[in-house]
Amino acid sequence: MSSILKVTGLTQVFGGLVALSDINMTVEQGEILGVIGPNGAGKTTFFNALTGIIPPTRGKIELMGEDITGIKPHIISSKGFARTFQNIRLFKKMTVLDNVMVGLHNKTHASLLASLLKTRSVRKEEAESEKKALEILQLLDLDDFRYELAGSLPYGLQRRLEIARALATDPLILLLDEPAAGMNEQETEDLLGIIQKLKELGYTIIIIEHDMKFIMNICERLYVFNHGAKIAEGTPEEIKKNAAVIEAYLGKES
Amino acid sequence: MHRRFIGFLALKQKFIILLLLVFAIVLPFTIKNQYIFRLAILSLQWIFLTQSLNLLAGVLGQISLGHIAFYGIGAYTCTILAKNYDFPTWAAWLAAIAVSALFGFALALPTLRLSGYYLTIVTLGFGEIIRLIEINWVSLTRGPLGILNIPKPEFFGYQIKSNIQFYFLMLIILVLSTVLLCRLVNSRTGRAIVATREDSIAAEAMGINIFKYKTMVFVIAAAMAGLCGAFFAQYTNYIDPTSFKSDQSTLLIIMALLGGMGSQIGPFIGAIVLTILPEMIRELMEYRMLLYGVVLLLIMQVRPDGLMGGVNLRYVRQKLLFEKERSKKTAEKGAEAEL
Repeated sequence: MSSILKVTGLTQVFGGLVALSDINMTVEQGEILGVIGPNGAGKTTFFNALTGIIPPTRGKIELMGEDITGIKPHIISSKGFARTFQNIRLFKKMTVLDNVMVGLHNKTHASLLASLLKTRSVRKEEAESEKKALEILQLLDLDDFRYELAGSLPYGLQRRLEIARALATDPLILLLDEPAAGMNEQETEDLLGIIQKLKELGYTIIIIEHDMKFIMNICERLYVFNHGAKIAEGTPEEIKKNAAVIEAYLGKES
Repeated sequence: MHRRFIGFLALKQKFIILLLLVFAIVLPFTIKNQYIFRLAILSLQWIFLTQSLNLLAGVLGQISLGHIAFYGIGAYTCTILAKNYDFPTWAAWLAAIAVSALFGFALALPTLRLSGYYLTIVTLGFGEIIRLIEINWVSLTRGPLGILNIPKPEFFGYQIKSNIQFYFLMLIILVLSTVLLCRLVNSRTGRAIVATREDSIAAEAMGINIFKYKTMVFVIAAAMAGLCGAFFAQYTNYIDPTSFKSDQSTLLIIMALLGGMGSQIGPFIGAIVLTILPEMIRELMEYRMLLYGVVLLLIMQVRPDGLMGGVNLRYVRQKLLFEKERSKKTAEKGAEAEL
């Protein structure tokens, strides 16, 4: 196994608030990594820094050995990061199919002029990307809803569509920000199956999650954040016994 | 009722478009009255102008209250070049498009990070600045006196003079723009633009350079308005700054809103209704703005997105056909099971 992501000394400061301090992390090809921590621990800030939405104050992010720190989000996306959002951010007035086709943006090349002229290569590319998008929808069992508006889908399916859209960018690493939040038991179980399937397909995934059962089930390695710092890392078994983690979640024994 | 109507529109799209096109072609031959002719040409022209604003405000979601400025820039550029410098029409029109596009680009750059009210205020200011320049740069624009006797358009020896010629010139422009806009919206570029409107952060995370697409739409919308201005100047023969006041921009926004933001049919409905309606009730001219207000309030109550707002006929069509096919399949399966 080779490491595809290497984060060193990542620090994020907002005014006087240190939201992330000196985070180090390496991610191996094909592993599923969990990031947990109490509310406000800096988990989403960490994702925002990785994907360039809010560039980090200090530190270095290397993806496949290439330094991608501080470059624009849309370029980072083309380098191989794809993500979902904690509060769903779908293109609500577009169909499910079109949402996924937006994800294919950087895999397609039709220029404005060629699209206006509707050249043969544009029509071919459109047909191909529609086919590709449908394959992804099938993988996530969403193809029956392909022509529904994304905003009209039930909550659980909206979360799933976000994953589909992210997969369309053909990412090296998939970042899932609380994918199970607000889901009922059945939906959570379906999601577990999907992530399992993605793992078998060889995807590398980093998951932020609050549902402990969920994350202990699926992740091989966990990072625990508290107050912007990493307080522990290890297998789920090690984390369960870790004193610092227990203290962060339950408070100090008096 | 509305739903079924939209479904009907979506499925019979080709037939309806053909019918409307035949109507639009036959119409000018039946009009004998000069005044009605002028209304028909103005309607076409306002549809085209509303389309350009709809691209910016509806498809990209950047509401502009100064859009008429680009129309004015196009009108003055074409007039000055054609009248004072004897430019051939095609060159004057290209210049009008290019200069408006350039101003669109100039307005886009500082406003890329703005949206919502902030952007709207800036565009309002931009519109006023352009109008003040038109009034005060007297050596160039003759200020409030306006410019008279603008030469008629002439394309490679063929002069456009009569109402019927102007009508068909605008109709050709409009058909072209409609086809191209539909292609644009349903392309890779169009999806990127709509995604930028729907959620710019998610769009960026999907690899879309939102600044590039915002700038692109500003430039295209401005260029279209500029072309429309050039046509208007040569058609009416006379321009002055009152044609490019901010209440014209407001009227344009109301047209786009009434028809439905972001819809490709919207501009047709909004522009035709609001060009013809005020003429039908000319006696009540003083109350026109009041009437617009009432119409808008009613629309906002019944259909907040405008008559055709939020309706993408392509989506409706795809869905209906998909459902039809699926129910056919289940019916076949059911029949097999019975056997």
